[in-house]
Amino acid sequence: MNREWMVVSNNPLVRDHTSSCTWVDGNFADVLFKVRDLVYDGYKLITHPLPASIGMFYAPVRSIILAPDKSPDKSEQSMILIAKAIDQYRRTVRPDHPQKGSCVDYEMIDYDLWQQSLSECRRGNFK
Amino acid sequence: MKKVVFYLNQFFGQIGGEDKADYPPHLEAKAVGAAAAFSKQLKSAEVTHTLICGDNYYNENKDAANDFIRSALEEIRPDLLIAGPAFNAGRYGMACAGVTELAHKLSIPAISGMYEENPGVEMARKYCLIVATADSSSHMREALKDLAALAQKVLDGEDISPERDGYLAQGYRRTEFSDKIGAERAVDMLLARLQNKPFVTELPMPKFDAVEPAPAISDLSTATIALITTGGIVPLGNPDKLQSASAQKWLKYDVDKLDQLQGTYCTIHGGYDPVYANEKPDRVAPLDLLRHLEKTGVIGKVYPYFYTTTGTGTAVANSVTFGQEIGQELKNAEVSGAILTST
Amino acid sequence: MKLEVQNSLIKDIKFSQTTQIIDHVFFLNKDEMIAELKKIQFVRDVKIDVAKPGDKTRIIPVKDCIEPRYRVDRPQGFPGVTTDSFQVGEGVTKVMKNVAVVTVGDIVGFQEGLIDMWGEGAKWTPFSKTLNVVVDISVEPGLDPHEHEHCTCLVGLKASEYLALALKDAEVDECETFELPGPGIEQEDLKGLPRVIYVQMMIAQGLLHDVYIYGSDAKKILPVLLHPNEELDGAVISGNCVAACDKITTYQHQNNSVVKELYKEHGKSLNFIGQILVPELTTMDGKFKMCDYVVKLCRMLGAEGAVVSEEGYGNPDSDLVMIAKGLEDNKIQTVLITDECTGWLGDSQPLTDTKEEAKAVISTGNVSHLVHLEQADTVLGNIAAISNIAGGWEGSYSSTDGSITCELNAVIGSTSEIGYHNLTVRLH
Repeated sequence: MNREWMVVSNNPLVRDHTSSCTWVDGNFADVLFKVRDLVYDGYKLITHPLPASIGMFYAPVRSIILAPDKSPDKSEQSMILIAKAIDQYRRTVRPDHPQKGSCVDYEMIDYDLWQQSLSECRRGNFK
Repeated sequence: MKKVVFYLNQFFGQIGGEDKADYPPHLEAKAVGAAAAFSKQLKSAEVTHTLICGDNYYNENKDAANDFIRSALEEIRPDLLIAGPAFNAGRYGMACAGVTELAHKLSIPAISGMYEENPGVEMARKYCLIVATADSSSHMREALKDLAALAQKVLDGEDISPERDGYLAQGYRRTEFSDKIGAERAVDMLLARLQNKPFVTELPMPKFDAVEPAPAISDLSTATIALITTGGIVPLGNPDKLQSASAQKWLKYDVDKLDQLQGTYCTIHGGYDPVYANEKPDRVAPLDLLRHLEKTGVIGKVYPYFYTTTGTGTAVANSVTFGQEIGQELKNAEVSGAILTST
Repeated sequence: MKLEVQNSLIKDIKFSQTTQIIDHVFFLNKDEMIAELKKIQFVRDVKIDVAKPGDKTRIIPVKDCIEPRYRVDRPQGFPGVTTDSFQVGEGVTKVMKNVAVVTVGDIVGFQEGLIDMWGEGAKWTPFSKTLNVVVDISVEPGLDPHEHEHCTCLVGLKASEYLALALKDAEVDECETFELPGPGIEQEDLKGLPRVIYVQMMIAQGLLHDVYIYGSDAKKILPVLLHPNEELDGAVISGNCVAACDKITTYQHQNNSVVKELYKEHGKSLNFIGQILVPELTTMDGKFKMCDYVVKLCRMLGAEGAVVSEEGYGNPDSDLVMIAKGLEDNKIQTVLITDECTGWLGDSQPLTDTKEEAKAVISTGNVSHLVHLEQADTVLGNIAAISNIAGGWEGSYSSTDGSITCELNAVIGSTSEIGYHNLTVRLH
């Protein structure tokens, strides 16, 4: 696993399982904002900032993996992607949407998705 | 019999030409001019009243004009309001936009007619149906016919669509039932493509104009930098009457003697809370910081003229023209770079 | 490969002492079925109900829908999942038409959508037209969520297998034949017809976001070439549980509408050469790799046209438009199927990601379109889940009249991106 990679997260379960977590004390949107700032500071997106399902759009927690960017092209791609993601997130999730069920369940699913992303990274990076 | 109120400008309301453009709003309890020709084409409805107002009067005294029109509409309670057709007349189009917005707020359905590049289209499309017309009033007959056909359908509560009924789409994507499932439509569309037949995508991708960036400035310390804003920053009192929305022009002011905009400038922008900008207009167009960079030698100098317009509601076509005109001036003046701020 | 699908049309379901089909009526021995399902590890309790079209019944939270099927003179079950793996897609398969097993059960505290069998709600989901055998599953306490998901999934599949046994001696009302030679085989009558491939994208990202192909976890594979008959014959099952409106249920895999529509034109106006399943991964690098791989497969197969369907929305939008660009850049004419998220008014941008090459797109509806659903007489599943549906909000559920105002997000299969339902979007 590349040591320079980090996860930006507001999920305590993720934070407690890695030493490379940039902790966000806030909600899903705050995680997206932090990721946007980091992308402008020279990081690129390793995982897509948005989930793939409606259920997880409504999650209070989100974990996104980033890495330092070495190539200028890709960072522009990340900038565009995170901007579009923030826009789509705002459209999808209404501010008065209640939190569904217990936070623990969301944390667990988000943790699992993060774990799966890590193993996806491992498979994709033979070295 | 259903009631229709028709809004016309001074010219089509038979008051007079450009010299009567300051004519204040006026109500006639009958169908005047174009409204009469329109009324004849309706079944089970008629134009009972015509509102007439000069284009300049409306645009320069919008609140007063709207007060008059509002009370007229509240009293008449028409089933439908028609404004225009304005063809490609910008001020008339803006007035139609204002009047239809008012009708929308009063829950009175409204229809206008405009050429698709009329700047009023962008303002009005959310509030009313806009029949696409030709660009000049020589096509009045066709325009009235189309307006009447759509008006009749709206009055009868019939199902309408932009393609079938010839109006400009309002920009709402509505979920509807199709007579075919999605998969069948997909295969139909693919077959059309493979057979080089026309097809219509159900989800058009947004089109963005790509602008090739200018080459980077190699030495900022000798560069001349211009300041441009769409934040509606103008000298106090707005001497050149820049519009607070839907700008029809851009302006430039000599700021060569100024260290900052604070004190002599303000905002007339209608799209944001002006308190902080009026306190210090440099928050929107940072002349103060540019001066600082000039003094500390970071940049060569600040270009003597400051360019300004209002971004809110301004038609894309107008913005493109403004950009090209300002760009050409700066190029001619050999300005090296520009800072363009928006709000 | 040739698959003959023999439909037994069912008009009604009744509980009885013997599970059998007599004169288009399906008789179900509920106790025997429950006893059978309780044999599955970790199952604590199972409740069985029937919901028929027109009943004022709401089913919530739905996990999966499955069609009961019986393979004649071949092994039963879902290969690699409920039984050992074996090749499917060739032979005779009997189908209990108009019947679906619908599983409900809480896996996590937030739950997805519903099926209404009557009124306004019925219009929005294809599963209001089927006779639904609703299986409500409770598991042993303290189960790990992965095991819980696994268990619920197995119960649903096994339930469909139990029902399917009644098909063994059932009368056949109609037959459909699905036969393709495969892309490598020249066939005189197909010469000159454009070669068309179906690219089916699927969520493959983790717990409640999975799909299995012959039991293989799709997030661990590269895009894979399938004979379309394989999916029709049970090779693909859904493990996706948090995208009610646009997930592909197992039932929809078994009846993939794009496959069926392409079959209708096969040999007439096109040559259907096959199907590629593409995992939608979480990493950008994974997305790039899957996209390149799919495009390469399509080129190797000599495809001239492609239908690409998405699953879910959000990050898969990126995969979708990248695949479109890759195919169009290689002169493969492409039609995409997706849903959109344009807000309550329908005036926002539809997709998270766009590319101009995505020029031919079918939209299966706005997931945030609002629907108003009146109170049900009967709720099957978990009543408490109603106030917690994704696609609802504070005040979405009215405690005074029991009605729900929610987005299509909450309705199972409403905006199916394999084009299974008949919604579309028009600009007004």
